[in-house]
Parts: sequence; structure tokens; C-alpha cells
Amino acid sequence: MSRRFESERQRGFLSALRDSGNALPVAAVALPAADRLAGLRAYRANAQAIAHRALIAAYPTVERLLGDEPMKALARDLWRAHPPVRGDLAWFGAELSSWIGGVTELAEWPWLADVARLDWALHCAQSAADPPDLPEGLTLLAEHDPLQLAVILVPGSACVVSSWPVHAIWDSQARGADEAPEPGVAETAWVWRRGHSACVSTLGPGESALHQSLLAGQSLGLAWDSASTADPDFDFPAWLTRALREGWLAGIHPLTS
Amino acid sequence: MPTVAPQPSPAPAPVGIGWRAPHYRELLSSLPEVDFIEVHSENFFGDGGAALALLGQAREHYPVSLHGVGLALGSAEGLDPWHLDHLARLVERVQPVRVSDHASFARVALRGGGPVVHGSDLLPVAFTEASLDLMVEHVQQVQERLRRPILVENLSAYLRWEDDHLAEPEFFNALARRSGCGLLLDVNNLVVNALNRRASDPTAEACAWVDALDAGVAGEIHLAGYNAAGRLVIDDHGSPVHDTVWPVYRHALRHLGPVPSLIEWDTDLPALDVLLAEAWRARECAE
Repeated sequence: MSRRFESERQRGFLSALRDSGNALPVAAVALPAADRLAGLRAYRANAQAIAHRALIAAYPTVERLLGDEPMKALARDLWRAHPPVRGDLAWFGAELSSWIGGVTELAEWPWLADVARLDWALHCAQSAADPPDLPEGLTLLAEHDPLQLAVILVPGSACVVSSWPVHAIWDSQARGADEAPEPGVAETAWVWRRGHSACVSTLGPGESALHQSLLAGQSLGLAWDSASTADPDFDFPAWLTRALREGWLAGIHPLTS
Repeated sequence: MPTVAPQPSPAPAPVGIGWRAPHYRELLSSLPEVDFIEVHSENFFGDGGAALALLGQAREHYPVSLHGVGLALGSAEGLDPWHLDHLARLVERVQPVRVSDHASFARVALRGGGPVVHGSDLLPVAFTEASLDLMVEHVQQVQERLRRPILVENLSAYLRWEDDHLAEPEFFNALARRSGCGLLLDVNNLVVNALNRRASDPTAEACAWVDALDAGVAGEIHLAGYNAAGRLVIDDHGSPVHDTVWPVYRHALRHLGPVPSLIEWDTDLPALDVLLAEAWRARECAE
């Protein structure tokens, strides 16, 4: 009974914070009556400031593209529609890319959702598990059928497949340039951790297909087939050389079944 | 006539600073003389990465205190197992001198189903027996998981509940007695609350709050700045400690003994030297 009462009390308080009206939480008092609304506004302002800070930390490119005030509005609306579910605010904003698709004011920026996906992938990579200094099991490549091998990419790896030049837009903003994206140029941005840095690059069609298959847990053999289908000139030894040079691989293991 | 050997003076209270991202590298390169550093636990919940590596380096030079903002110990919905798992992992990694969080709620199940959401703020609990029962249960749950006592911080609150009937120090005394936790006494929050209650003498009211604490209950003291520009005084941790707060701190040290003390500064972060100067000032009070 007591827990239920506290639960209802707390639910009412948070609902009041998420509303835009002036209704006070049930049974809440401030101090002098005139301060009640000020108290509610203080909590609302703090929630908005926290949501804004969390969002610009995770989406620096989106913030540079949109500017401060639109980003504040986006943070406020996202906090109401998709409030945090964890006490670690690094996780707030995971839904931004899908949310952007429904914001009519942003319809003239059709690439923005993909840029948001790339920002989020980099954000997640920054706190992913540290990659190994050297990948394990490389010798297995010479000993096993690729269909029997699993290639493990380093933690934090992600493919952002876009029908827009998502990497070029990201790179332009990171360099402080503000170049208009070239329509019709599709790109796959590839995100991975190297040491303590989150890195981003582009992948060709074969590499993109290979990485997507590996991330989906397919064997090296099947992933290689996907790459060759996407790009008949796909060159596995060249890919492997690049993967080792860039630190994409965590290890190679025999598939257990 | 027997002679009495001179008693050594008690060691002064250790004084630390909150260590925030803009100061990460500068602190590690200059290694200033502070007794401990404190970080927000949630900023190091990741599986790896640069921040966690830097914290590991800092741990080689300073004792580290972990101060959380997200456990939501007073939430009727209970604790988030994910949060507790990540805190336990961090405690295992860092071996901190202290672990703390706040006497607040944040986790709420919204009407109509869906996931439990987190208010991402330190929302005020009621000072009632029912609320105390919840807090005791959750503090014990955390302590059992971490296998160590924690400290729970008093809030600055901008709304209160009309059925509050336990005095706030009484609430914390009972919480400590029943759960075995300690109090992280934020003296700035005492002054902010007194100012917002339009107390005629906020310093005296805050000192009376301290006097009502049981002996030995406080395990750490926080000092910070507030913003008095609006209708309500806001605990924004964005300026030096106010003149109204220092007397309360000195009073707390006299009353509570040499309790480890921390300068918190979270918004409009100044140069590291400014933060350190505040810590020196606290140390002067503590000596």
C-alpha cells in the first residue's frame, strides 16, 4: 500500500515535469505558494539542460549541422517522446535517427538521420571494450575452410549504410567546412575502435557487404560470398591487409557448429 | 605529579576535488596536491575507452571516490539491475575510498505500460516512514551487492511534499541506523534549501540541521556554488562556494570532526587552479 502510494506520487511528479502545463504534482508544495511554479520550472529547465548536454555529447555532427536552438528543441521533444530509461545518460538519444524521420521541419535534410546514425555509432564505439593489441587466431586462415571460420571484428564496430554521402558530410563538418552533400552518392561509413580512439572510414561495396555479414555473425565463407556478389572484383587478401593495418580484427575462431 | 604526554592533533580532514572531463589530462600532467578526487560513477560505466583508461591512471596517483547521480535510491519502482551491475563492476575496477549517491527518486513507470523511465534528475523524496522504508531497502540492496557501506547525499529540493513529517536530519539518522550507510552531507544544499524557504538566517538554519545529526553519521562533506539570480536559488555547482556556506562548513567540521570534504564544480568549469584554490580554502578550514 505504502509503496503503491509512493509509486503514484512519483509518477505524478514525473508526469508534471514532462507536461508543458502548470499543473503541480499531486500533494507537492513548494514553500511560499508563489514559488510553486518556479520549483516546477526549475526541474523542467534542469531536465531540458541535461537532455541537451547529453544529446550534443552523442551527436556533435548533428548539432553542428542544426545549430544550438534547433538542437535544444530536438532534445526537449525527444526527452518527452523517448525519455531516458537508464541512469547513465550516455544512453539517452539512441532513438534520435528514427525520430528525425518524423520531424517535418527536418524533411529538407534527408541525410540527417544517417548522419545521426553515424554519430551514435561513434559515440558507442568510444566506450566499447578495448580492442586487443593483436588479433587472435590468424594462423587459422591457412588451416581451415573459410566456411568453418568466424571473424570477430573489434568491439564498437558498426556499418552505417546510406544512400547519401554520409561519411563526406561527417568529414566536412568535422573539418569545419560546410559543403553541401552531393545527392545520389551512396556511402557506407565504417566505425571501429583503434586503441582508445573511435575511428571512421568508408568501405567499398564488397567490403561493406563483408562487414555487414560478419557483424551479423555469418561465417567468413558466407561473408566472402556476399562481398563477391556485391563486388565481383572484391580482393580478400587486399581486404585482410587493410584490416590488419587498421586494427579491424579482434580474432578468428573456428565455428563451433 | 604525573606528566601527561602531549596528544597528537587529529589529522586534518582530507580535501578533494571533483574531477571532470576538461581537467582529466591537466590533472594527470600536473599532479597537484589534493587528498582525493571524486568522479561521477556513470561517466565510467563503459566497457572500455579513453575515459576509463584515464581514471585508471588517476587511480595510481590519488584515492578515488565514486559519486553517482543515477541509482535513484528512493524510487518506488526499485533499483535498475543494469545500473547496479555497472556500478559493481566499476567499484571492483577502481577500489574507491568511498561510494555515494543521492536520497532521490527518478525511476518511474509511466501510465499505460511501457518501460520504466528515468527522470535524469535528483527528484525529491518525501520525508515519511514509507519513503524511509523504501530507501533503507534499496540502500541495503546496493550495499549487499557492493559488499561495502555507501554514503547517501541530502538534496537541494525546489518542491517539497505536504505530508513530509520527518525532519530531514531525522530521516538521515534513521536511514544510517537502519541500513548501516553514512550521510554525504552537502552543506551547500542545506543553505540553498534554507534560502528557498526564505529563512531569516540561512546559515543558522543550516547549522541547526548539522547539529541534529547523530555522531559519526557523516562520511563526507560536499561544498559547491549556487546561483541566486532567479526567484529560487539553484544548486548549479557553477561558481565558487558562497560566503553563506563557509561558516556552515566550519561549523560542520567542529561538530562532526575531520570528515573528508570535496569541492564540486560541474557547470561553467573554471581553470583547474581556481578549483584547487577552493580546495586550499577548504583545507584551511579543516586545519
